[in-house]
Amino acid sequence: MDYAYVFKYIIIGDINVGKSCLLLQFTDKRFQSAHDCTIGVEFGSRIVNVAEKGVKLQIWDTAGQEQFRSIIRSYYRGAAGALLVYDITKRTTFDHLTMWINDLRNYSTSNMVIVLIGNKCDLSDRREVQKEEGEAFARDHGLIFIETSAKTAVNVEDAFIKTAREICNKIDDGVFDLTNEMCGIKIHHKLPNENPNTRRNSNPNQTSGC
Amino acid sequence: MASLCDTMRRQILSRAFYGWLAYCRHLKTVRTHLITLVYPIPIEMNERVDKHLSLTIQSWTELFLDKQNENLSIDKKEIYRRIYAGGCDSSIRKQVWPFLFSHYSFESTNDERIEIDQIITDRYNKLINEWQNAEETIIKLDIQRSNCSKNSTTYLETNQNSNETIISSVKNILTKNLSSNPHSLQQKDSNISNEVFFEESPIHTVAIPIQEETNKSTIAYNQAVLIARTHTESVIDRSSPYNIIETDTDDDDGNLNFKTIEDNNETIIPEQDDEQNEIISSASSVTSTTDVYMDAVEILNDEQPNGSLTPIYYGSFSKETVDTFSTNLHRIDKDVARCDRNYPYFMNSKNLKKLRNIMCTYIWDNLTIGYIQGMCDLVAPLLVIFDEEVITYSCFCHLMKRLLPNFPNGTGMDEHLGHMRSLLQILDSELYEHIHHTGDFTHFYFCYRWFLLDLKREFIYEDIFLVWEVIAAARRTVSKRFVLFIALAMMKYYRDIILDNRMNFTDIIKFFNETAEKHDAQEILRIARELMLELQKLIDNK
Repeated sequence: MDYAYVFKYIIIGDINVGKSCLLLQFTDKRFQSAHDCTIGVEFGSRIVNVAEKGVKLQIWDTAGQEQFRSIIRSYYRGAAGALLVYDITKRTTFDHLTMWINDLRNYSTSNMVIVLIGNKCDLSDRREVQKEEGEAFARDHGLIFIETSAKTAVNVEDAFIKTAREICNKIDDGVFDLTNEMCGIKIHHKLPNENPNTRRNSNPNQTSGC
Repeated sequence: MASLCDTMRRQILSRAFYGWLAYCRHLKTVRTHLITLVYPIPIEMNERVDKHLSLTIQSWTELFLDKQNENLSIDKKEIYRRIYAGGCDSSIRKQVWPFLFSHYSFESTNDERIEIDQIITDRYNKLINEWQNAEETIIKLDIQRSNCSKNSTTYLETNQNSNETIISSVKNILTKNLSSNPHSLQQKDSNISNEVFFEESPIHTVAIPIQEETNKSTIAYNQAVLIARTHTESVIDRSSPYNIIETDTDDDDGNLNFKTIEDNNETIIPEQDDEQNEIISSASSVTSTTDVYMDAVEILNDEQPNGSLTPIYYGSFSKETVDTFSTNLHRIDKDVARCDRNYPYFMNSKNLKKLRNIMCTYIWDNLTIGYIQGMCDLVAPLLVIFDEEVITYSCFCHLMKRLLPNFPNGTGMDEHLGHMRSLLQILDSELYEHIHHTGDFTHFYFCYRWFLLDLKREFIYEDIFLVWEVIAAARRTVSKRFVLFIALAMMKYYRDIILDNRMNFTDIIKFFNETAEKHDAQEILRIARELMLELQKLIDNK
């Protein structure tokens, strides 16, 4: 499928909140509970349809353990969107959000679109963070908010696409300087030798709802 | 015309001169950056490396087993040379790897090796005993906390039996349904602190892990709430070769401090110490002194509904130790449960249990380092080869001495990435130029995982064994950092794909992510050895 833009995303958040699972659900539409822990950064991509344009999302999945934070920071730069994930069944992962937000503000481009994701919403019987708290935090920090389940795929699609839509809006408003590669957005110039081997590409039209 | 020719001549000369100057500078870079990477050994040694050479069963028998039987000295150089050239036969890995990973030295006698095994086994058992005690404490703490937060009445009514049930169920959760370890946990349940901690006396429990018969008479069960704890030295053996970082977590308090929460009715339990020591380090041979002293117990912040206070039980450990270990234990459990589950060996929960034991033992011994993701990956191939905890633990400790600096907070990773840059500049300038010009590439971060895990995630298991033994043998023959040359070989192998597709930083990371476990290990190792030779010649011709 053809696409007009490439957006660079980064997924961040505490250890074991389900970052890699969100990515896998989005790119491959499957859930793997015993996923190898992420070392440094890993990578996934998929083309989606946003505002009648094809957009290729290049998603960088990061290690959550705090020891890896310094290497993770070098990937913040040049990302147009960030998915900041916490686990609704684990209060501490929510408590650390401020730290993550500060980190993002300090090391990323200023126009970055951030979506706050409360993951594991299928485990609502073990919920420790109420939806309202997530909403309030997002409101206070100017973030998009959504609760997802990487396991049941609830809202996963939405989380990625809402971010893309917001970035598209910002492009239309002229917020981004697209000549600067560090903004995390590339206009796609079709090359004759374009390699369409992105095996993670899948049907971009399918959306899911909570 | 003449002047034109003259100008041309001068230009040609000056270009030649600047070309030569650039070349000299180039070589200077080689010397300064890379001279430390390879051993100054005669190249012939390396050139003798034959494609078809390897450590076969027959050559191992001739070079080691026969010699050992006749008490002759062993030509370890020849053994290393063969492994460097082509690895070991898979059937002898279990015998060879303890030497490759420095558990034994080739100079040792059979008796000495038996002694080493004994020492390490004792040490392993001692450590395992210690952390399993700490784990018990953590489990009890968890029960207590959950009881406190849920329903204090239920807690108070809980009798011995149901507590045991809770303990075992929590244990099951903690160990992720791994099969239970026959030695130690069960037996400890019965004789340590359940009875004391879950003493019928509902509120003002003396939370000391002792057998109640001996102490009931001496301890007044009254207002005082006490806890015994040891200095962390008791668990850190400074004489051990396995401590990479000196741990210094001494408490500020002096020895034998006796404090109470409520200052009326102080209680002093003099007989406590010996009893305590025995329980903590039941694996005998405690090399450092165990200072046991009493300290104030922490009181749960949220008071019980009935207004009473419940002591938090830290067993014989400091609060810091228990808290730190608890965090680490959690992480280890998460990662053990998801470590290489597609590889048949780790589909067996017994083997996951072994992996967990080794990991916990190492972390317990290096609590200041703590568990960092990736460590399980490094234990896994060793465990598959040995299928036995003690020797795997020992080899892992040696491996970590080399690899720990690459983990966050160490300087090893930056050094590796820097060397990688210089090496590529020297050995494939075209690829270097490409990478240099495609922007945000200067850090070579796509190599991060390669260096952190010694390429463990880049190859399938069968190949990782080969790659690891070649790296280990290379340390004794050509370079301390042979992994750099393998990394370089990986880049060389795919250089045309990278150049033809004008791959940028992102493309390359993505490319290597997708080609993980699909590489041709033999070919990549061959290229790596070639590159090594090339660099040796280059340095030699300086």
